[in-house]
Amino acid sequence: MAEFLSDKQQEDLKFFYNNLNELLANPLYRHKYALIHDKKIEGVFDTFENAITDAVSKFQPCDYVIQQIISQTEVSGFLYSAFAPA
Amino acid sequence: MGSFRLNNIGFQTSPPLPSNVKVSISTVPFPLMFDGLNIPVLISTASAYRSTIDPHSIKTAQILAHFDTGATKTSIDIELAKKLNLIPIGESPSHTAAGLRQATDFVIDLGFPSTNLRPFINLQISSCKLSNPNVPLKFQMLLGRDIMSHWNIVWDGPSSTVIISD
Repeated sequence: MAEFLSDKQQEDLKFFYNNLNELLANPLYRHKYALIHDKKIEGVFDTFENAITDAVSKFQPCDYVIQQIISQTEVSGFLYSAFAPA
Repeated sequence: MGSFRLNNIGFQTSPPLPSNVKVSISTVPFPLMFDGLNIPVLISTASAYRSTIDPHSIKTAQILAHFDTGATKTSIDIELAKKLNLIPIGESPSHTAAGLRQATDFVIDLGFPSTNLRPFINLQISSCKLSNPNVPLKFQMLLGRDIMSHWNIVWDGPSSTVIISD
């Protein structure tokens, strides 16, 4: 699925995952939304809406990623019987 | 407050039936039982982007969305996301019937045509593979608990009637 992300976004994602443990260690950041651009954390926001509003005011589309700061064990889940394996 | 009502009762004849014809009408659970709840939704480019991208690349589509109470997050068919030129915003891990996978996230505006249910603006959604020629589906989106948590939903199984209000 990462094929839909630009090369820049994939680098920013990699940066995010490399720093995820450090972000999770800060209780103020848990479950909040990190805006990542140019392999830097530009801000951490309480809501996705705030993050996207800030991102759009500063950067071009596909020039950043917004990731929720959650551990890999706290995943979103869905089960649907007709889901086709990727 | 907005609302949406689905029921499956309708009876009409043309020409009118002769007077000696007996008619029996009953409600049945089968539509909801077999198909689940699928409602029309209007997907469009997120409002956050509208002032920053080429107006010609703004797209809108009306499709059916399936209620999936097992889904934490609302999810769009990835092929539809491509057709609508949705802008990827990141990715998130999802537990699915096929196992743990990373899914691309997008942000959209989501409306409910022919209802006065409040639309969702700048909604972050996940994606999944719903297009499969071997298993054709009526719907191209799964509505998750992220949206359902905003609604009061009454599900009357025996009559296949659903009432949604916000």
